[in-house]
Amino acid sequence: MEHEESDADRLVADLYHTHYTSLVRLATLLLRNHAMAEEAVQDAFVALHTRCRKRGRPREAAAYLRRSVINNVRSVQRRWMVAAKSPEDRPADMPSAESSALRSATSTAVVEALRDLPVRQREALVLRYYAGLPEAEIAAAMGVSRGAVKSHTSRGMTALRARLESWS
Amino acid sequence: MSENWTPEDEDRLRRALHDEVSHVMPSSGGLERIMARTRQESPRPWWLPGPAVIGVAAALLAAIAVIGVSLTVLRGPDETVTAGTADSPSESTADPSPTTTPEALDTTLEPAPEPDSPAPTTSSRPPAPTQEAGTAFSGAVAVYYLTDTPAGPRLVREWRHLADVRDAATAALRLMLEEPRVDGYRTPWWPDTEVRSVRVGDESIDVDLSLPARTPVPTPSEDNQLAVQQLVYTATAAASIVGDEDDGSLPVRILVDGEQVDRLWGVDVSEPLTRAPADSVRQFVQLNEPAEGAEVTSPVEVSGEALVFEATLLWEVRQDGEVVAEDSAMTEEGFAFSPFGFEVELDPGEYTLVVREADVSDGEGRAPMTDERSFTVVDD
Repeated sequence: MEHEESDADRLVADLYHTHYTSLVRLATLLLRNHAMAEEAVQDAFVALHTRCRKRGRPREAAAYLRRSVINNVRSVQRRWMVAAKSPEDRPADMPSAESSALRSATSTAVVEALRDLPVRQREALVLRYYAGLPEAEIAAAMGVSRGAVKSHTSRGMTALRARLESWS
Repeated sequence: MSENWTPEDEDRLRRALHDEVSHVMPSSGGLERIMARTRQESPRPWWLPGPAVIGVAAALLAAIAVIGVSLTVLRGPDETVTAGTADSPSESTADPSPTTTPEALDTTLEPAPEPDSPAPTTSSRPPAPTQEAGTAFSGAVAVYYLTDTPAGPRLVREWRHLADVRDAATAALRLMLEEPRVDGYRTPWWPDTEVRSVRVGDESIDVDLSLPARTPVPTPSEDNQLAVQQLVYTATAAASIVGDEDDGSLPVRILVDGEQVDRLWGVDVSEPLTRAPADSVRQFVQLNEPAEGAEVTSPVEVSGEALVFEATLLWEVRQDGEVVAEDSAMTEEGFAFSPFGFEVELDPGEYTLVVREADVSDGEGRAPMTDERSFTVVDD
């Protein structure tokens, strides 16, 4: 037991150093809220620790973390559904002084446009263009088929394009 | 990738995303906080806000209050007895309501006249329940029923939408006594049973029932224990909405006509009862969405939780008896109640979704447990 404990500790510590910051940033792009993003990522690490202690290391610990972070982010988003009075008020559009404060001067039109996309499309685009993941890993992280990733990505790109006429 | 995106455009998108968050630095001590939580006997469920989130939640609550929507919550405490890993949507009350008083409960609260009319949104996900003291409750509650599985009767649940009820717990328990909507689910309670009141206290949830004059003992006897657990599961889930005890751990005291009773249907209820372990009473496969009879748009989002071998589930979608889509899905963890979710692209029409355990015994063991929902896909 002691041995397994320390193995889980080591795995979590290793992945913390290599992945924590990038996962927090990934979650921040999806949630637009740093504190909640960090919470979602910490929860994913705790889940990984539990899993490792009970049944050994998952084959792809980083993929496990990503999947877990995406799921935690979705749960936070769902929690905000309550505030959504109409389908247009998507939870990630939550009005918050926090999120506007987070939006630094580097904020660009493309990020603004991304914010208006449906949640799944935004996930697909962020995992592809921020995390730089191949399609199969995006599918695993989102828990959908590769076909669904393709369709979310292409719809997202089209919608983003429509909002970025000035780019052409 | 996309016909009108040039590689330069894609680079700009990459740079914009990186720039957007390059200044985001994790707060210090993240690893220590994670490690501290892993050392706790029962880690804080992830949805309970930690110190970092509370301030934010308060700020957001203020914003939400302005648009006239109360706080925040999701679903029942059911997942507190399950895996407790990621994506266990659950109760989170940042602004605990005062305990509902018996007086308040005496005001009869009926479920909405059209409790399950599909929301005109693109998702059938149960809306988050909300309730503040003295206000009407609108949202989804977990209502448990029985179903007959290859391993005997087991608990299953439906997310039922309530609109403008004064007391969600009483309403949920009344729904529990009525016919479920899903084919194959049933309630063993005698039809004339009534819920007199539900009081969520500091020590227990007191459910006061009125039984019909001559209550027959339901058969088979396996149902008796489960019927009591059905009430315990439903009451604890609902209590997390009305009370400030939000982790579903309060025991349930069953009263009959206001009096403490020793036995109900032969089951010892002299002491307040807690939830029996999920793996001993719940069906191993449980769909959350789509809701039975829901109208949804494609891609259809499917979610639920399951306790399955090696985390593998099989599913199929049928239309007029023909299988039109099938695949497998993974839960986040095997051998524990753990969430799963996937999406299916479907043309408009009526469908039945069946999710089942993978039979890893090659037919040697019991037949797999299944759960199913019928729903309609409509145009965007």
